[in-house]
Amino acid sequence: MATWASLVDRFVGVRALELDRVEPVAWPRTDAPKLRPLANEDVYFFVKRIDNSGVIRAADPAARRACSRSAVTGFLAAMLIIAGLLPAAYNTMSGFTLERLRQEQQALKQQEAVLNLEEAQLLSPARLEKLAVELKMVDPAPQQVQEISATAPNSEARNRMPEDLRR
Amino acid sequence: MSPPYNGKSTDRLVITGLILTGWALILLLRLVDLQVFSHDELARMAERQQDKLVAVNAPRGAIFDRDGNYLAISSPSRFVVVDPRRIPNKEIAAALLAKILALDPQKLEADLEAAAKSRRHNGYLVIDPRVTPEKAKQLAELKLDWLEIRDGSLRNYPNGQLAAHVLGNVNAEGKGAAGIELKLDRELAGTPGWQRVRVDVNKDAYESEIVKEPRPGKNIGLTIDSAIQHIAEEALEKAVVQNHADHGSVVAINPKNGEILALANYPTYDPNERLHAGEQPHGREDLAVVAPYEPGSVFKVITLSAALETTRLKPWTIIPCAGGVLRLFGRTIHDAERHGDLSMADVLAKSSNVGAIRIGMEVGAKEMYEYVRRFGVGSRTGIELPAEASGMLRPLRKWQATSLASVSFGHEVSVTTVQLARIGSVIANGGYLIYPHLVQWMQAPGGPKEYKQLPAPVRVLKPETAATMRAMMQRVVMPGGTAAQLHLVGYSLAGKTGTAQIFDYAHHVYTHRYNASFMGFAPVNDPAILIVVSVSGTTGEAGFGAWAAGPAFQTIATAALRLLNVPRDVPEEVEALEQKELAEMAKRKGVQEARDVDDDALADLAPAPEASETTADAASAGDAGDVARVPDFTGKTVQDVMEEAAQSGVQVDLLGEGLARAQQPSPGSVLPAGGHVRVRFAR
Repeated sequence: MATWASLVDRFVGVRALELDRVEPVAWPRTDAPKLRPLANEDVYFFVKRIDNSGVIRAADPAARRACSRSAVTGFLAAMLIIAGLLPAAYNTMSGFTLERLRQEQQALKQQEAVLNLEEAQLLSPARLEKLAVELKMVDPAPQQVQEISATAPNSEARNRMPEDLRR
Repeated sequence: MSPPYNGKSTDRLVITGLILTGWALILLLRLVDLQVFSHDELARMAERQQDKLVAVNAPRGAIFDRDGNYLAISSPSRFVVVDPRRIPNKEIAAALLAKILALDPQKLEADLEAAAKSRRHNGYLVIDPRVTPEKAKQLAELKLDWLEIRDGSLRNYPNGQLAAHVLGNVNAEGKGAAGIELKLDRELAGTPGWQRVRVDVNKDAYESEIVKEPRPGKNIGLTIDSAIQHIAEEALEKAVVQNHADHGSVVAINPKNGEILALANYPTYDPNERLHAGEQPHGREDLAVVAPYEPGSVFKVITLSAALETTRLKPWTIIPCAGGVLRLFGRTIHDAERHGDLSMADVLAKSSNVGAIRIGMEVGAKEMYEYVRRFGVGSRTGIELPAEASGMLRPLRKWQATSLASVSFGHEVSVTTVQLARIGSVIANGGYLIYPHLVQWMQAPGGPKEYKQLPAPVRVLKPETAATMRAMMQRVVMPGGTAAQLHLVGYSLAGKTGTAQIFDYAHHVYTHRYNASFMGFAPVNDPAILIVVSVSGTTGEAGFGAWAAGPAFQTIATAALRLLNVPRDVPEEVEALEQKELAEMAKRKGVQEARDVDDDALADLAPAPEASETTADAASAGDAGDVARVPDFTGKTVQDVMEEAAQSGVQVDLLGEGLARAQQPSPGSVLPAGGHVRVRFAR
């Protein structure tokens, strides 16, 4: 057992002072009192170099199979949990998208209302009359308004003016 | 031999497994605790944090005219809202807000004071419903605790005053306050809904659920034609202003189906402008619907219709008119012009009160009352406007000795302008009492149009009676009639004038101010439109029906017939005008035959050799190249009119005295050779 004393002894002890080469002195028997040796006073740390290069793991197919089974089981369990949680996650993400699209739709509806209002203001009869007056337009006299009869004889519908009438 | 694996590593594996299992168990227990035992409490906490209950607006329905143009539409807007009760000093607040929002500070202060005292506003007063982002930012920087900027929906009337009395307006809370907006508020308003929205920590919504489905307001299509309405409003304003009258109203209706094409009152208002506290609602009354009046001579159409059906009188039957004066039960009744004996047709054409009384007496009180009721007098038309007046018709048992005489020429009864239009429609459409209405269809968003179902018209007159009345009414606008100056080029016209003295209820006397009206329809044999113009508060001869209300009718009818593409039933008139104009163009350019005029020759400034023979003729005709155009004599004295007529070479017929109030033909029109201009003067 390693102790402080043994550690100190390592540096200043018998070996450190090369006192180990000294023949142990038989202590003369005396009647003088002396201390008991401390526990593990004679314990020294040393490095034991062990070459385990020749050691190979014993093949254990059963343990390998157990390990493989554990890994596969764990993987499958994780996949099942993820598969169970994934729809909820996608649901939440889709929810964000859906709400954003709804807000966009609401904003577009409001924009449409604003544009409709603007269009109606531009087409108001009072504004059109004011523009007509500025452009010096007048109401047509009765003889300037020609009625085109749909049942006039010798009439036919055309998309283009005939060649002989085109100038 | 050593065992396949060390027992110690198995132990370690088992120990690790036990540790992990224990950890998983702890997690599982925690999950059970969270999701089972603490579920309710945690769900409540999540709900408080994530769930928001949001109101879903139900946009107010739009109002369209008959061509699908917007008359009223709601759009998003930002409102400046204040709590008047929390404002410490309203004068300073009004000055501050008025400066930023460009409002009248005095009116704003009055609004704040009134709102603070009123229970109705309840801490919510809209100061400006259309605040711009820049002004909103300025107000927000003031950090006033009694002021708030809110998003909302604003009702807009993009055409300003157009059809103001028909549409009405909404109040500050967005509820209908007048007109169609009030009468059909439930259909237009819709019902807001509620939506539960779940938001994340960034307040972004990721889930929503409709708790209460919103019901958007219905869109409404009216029978109003915006162009005819605009022309009617302009013509009415001109008639009221020129005649210095108090107010006026116009109703233009399709006499066959009761669709109202125009309904106008003057004075009018802009529904976009709200009424401030203390302001009188001047011009906001829908007089055509809520204000009945004594119709006067227009009512004679009922008297004569009843006579044709219940007596042996015919249009050619001679009616003694006693020289235009009749004494009856202590009352003296006068005609505007003294007549001797007149035919029944002439009684109508010349609007003889004495003749009408004689005819009414032939009919008798019972039959007269019956026919007056048949024509809808005294009962509401059911038009979709609030507070419609039913007019006044005394029950037969309350008629006095002179009541029959009074009713015969349009007194002791009162009708609204809409009721008068319905009366005229009976004659115009061949004898049916139709239902004047403004609403054509309603449509819920996404749904089909629901067209208004009306009760079947009720026959009031025989077809031959209606035809006879139309022919007699046509004589009113012919020479000798009271409205001979009215004319629609290319169309036949029939009508009746009315000039009823206004009764002063305070002093119980008839005044010398008139309700001048003209009711007319065109074309006569297949009327496409019937127009009633009523101008109240006119004076003098120029204030009579034909002069005060007639010109407005002519303007509106001319434009309306063109806009409605009504085929002309007197095309030869237009052809004659066309030929006259071509001949004048030919004379002006020195080309002899208008028919052979070539466009290039017209553009050539040098006259052709044969044209030189006509230059002498052109010179003798007066100012070469100038067409005789009628000058504008309005507002001038007799002497000025004569001088101007002499200078312009126009022949004038002068009627009355004072200032020129009306003329026929109208200023600027072409005067045919030998034509006269009739000018009526009044003080």
